Amino acid sequence: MMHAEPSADRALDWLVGHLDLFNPMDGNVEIQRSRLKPLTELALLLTCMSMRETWQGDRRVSVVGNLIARTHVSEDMRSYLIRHSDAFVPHVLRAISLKQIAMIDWDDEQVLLQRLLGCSNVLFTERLPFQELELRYALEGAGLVHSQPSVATLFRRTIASHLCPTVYMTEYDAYTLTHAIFYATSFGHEPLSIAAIQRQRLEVALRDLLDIYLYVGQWDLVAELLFACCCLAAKDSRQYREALIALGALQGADGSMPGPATARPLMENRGEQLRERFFDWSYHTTIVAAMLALTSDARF
Amino acid sequence: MRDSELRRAIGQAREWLQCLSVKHVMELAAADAMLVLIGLWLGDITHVHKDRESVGVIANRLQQLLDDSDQDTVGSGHYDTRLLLISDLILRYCGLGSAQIEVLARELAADFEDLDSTPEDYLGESFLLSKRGLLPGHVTTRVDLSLALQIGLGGISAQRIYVHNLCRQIEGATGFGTFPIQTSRRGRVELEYRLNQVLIGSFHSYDIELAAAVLRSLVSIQARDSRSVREALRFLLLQQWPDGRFGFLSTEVRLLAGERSPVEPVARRVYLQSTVACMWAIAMMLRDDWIVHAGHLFTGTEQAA
Repeated sequence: MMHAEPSADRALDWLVGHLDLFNPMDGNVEIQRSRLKPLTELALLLTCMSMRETWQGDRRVSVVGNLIARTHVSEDMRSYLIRHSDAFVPHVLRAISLKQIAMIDWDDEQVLLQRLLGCSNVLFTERLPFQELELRYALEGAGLVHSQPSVATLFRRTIASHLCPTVYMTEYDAYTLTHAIFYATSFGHEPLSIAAIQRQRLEVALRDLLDIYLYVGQWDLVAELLFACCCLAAKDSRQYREALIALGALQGADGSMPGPATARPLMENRGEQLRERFFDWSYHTTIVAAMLALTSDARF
Repeated sequence: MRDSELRRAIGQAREWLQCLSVKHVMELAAADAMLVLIGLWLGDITHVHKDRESVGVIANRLQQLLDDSDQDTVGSGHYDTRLLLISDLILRYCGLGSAQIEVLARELAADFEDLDSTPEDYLGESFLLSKRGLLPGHVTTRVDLSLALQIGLGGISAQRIYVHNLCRQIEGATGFGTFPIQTSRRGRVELEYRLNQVLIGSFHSYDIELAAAVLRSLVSIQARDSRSVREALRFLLLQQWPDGRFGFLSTEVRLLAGERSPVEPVARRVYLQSTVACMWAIAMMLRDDWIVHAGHLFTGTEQAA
């Protein structure tokens, strides 16, 4: 049966079909660190889906939740959390997704996280401004006691509040801008309190960046920028509409989305190697596009 | 952006071209000499103090190079026909002329006369030929808007071709920016939107020549007062070396030169193209100067001092 959100539906099919590649412990003795990032991003998608009634009871939500839950409570993952200080925020983000779908013993988890927060370097290690926002988002989402500055204060430190002409902005700048917006708006679930003039500048920058990355075919950033527009409720522009159509036209029949054009994997690789390379190339854009489809009600 | 800043930038670029022509005049190929000639002319029209002498030196050299070429080379698409026709106008302005270009111009005019209407991609050539009296008039000024509609959706390699062709069409349809484009209000809005869309993108990709062409097109459709044009112009001025040439293109030079030695001729060609493209865009931003002097050049009323 056709789902009410068909683009997200197809994307989720593809993601579920590649769950083995999200699994950081699949057939390995040690945790594969390279797979923790994709797993955390999958958890963020799960959090977004859990907030939509249409996805409650969907079998694939449980399948994804099971993978995250299974890895989350494993001894290896617990050891990893305690022994690597940079594991804290991604761990909390995954925990939040499990809390949302009631697949975790939250009381125990919260006690553990609060203890870790109090006795580790999590609050003291140096972070970039958008990562400070990410930390705050994680702490708030997990209901942990903290004394981090407000979202408005942290947002003022990010590139989103110090915009330069877009022609000088690098890909890295564009990614940090979108991430600042994601975390400051809790992925579009909280309004952003900024002055009208600043909002206007931000919207202009997003539109310019959409033009730039549509031009070069950097579809991963196009998806991120569209999602950032959604988070700001800034969808009423020609750039937004056209970029959405262009991105939607690229979704494969299997639900996958293309990553940056310049990074397309060489098709001479065969079998499992090609599958893995294709996954590395397209998983992130597919997740972001699914979040976009969920948040914007966009049908590609 | 103050006019004085723009004039200063063109002046510096002109000095670079002048040095180049003094040092290397005998080493320049005809295509390079055409660029130097056009660049020096652009420098002259935007400055009070004209330097007719250096224009004359390079004009003489170009005429000699063209005279030494056989007709097949000139007429076979070896050179950009528009640059040939514009160079010929400047040669005439210097009291010179090329028999080879004359033959090519007449052949082209005869070809166009056989057609019901000029193909959009050749509007510029048709305009220049009509100004020389070889065609009855600049009859068609249509621009293929379907090209504009394809921009923004194709990925960079496809985009570059669409944008390049669209800019060429606009150049021809506006007589190189000397008269307004004939299109509906909606068509003009569409062009403005699409060109602005790719302007920052092309600078961002460091495609300076294309970005300069887009800037010229925006000026030609009278859409130069936008935020993106101002930003692009500032960015363009930042691309100038202290010696006056435009573009930080050592990577491109290395790639093009490959194993070839010496690298200098390759570097000269690369910087000539980027510098003249940028000078042309900046000169057109000085709107009044451009309309007067380009108009005079095209109608043959620009006189040597």
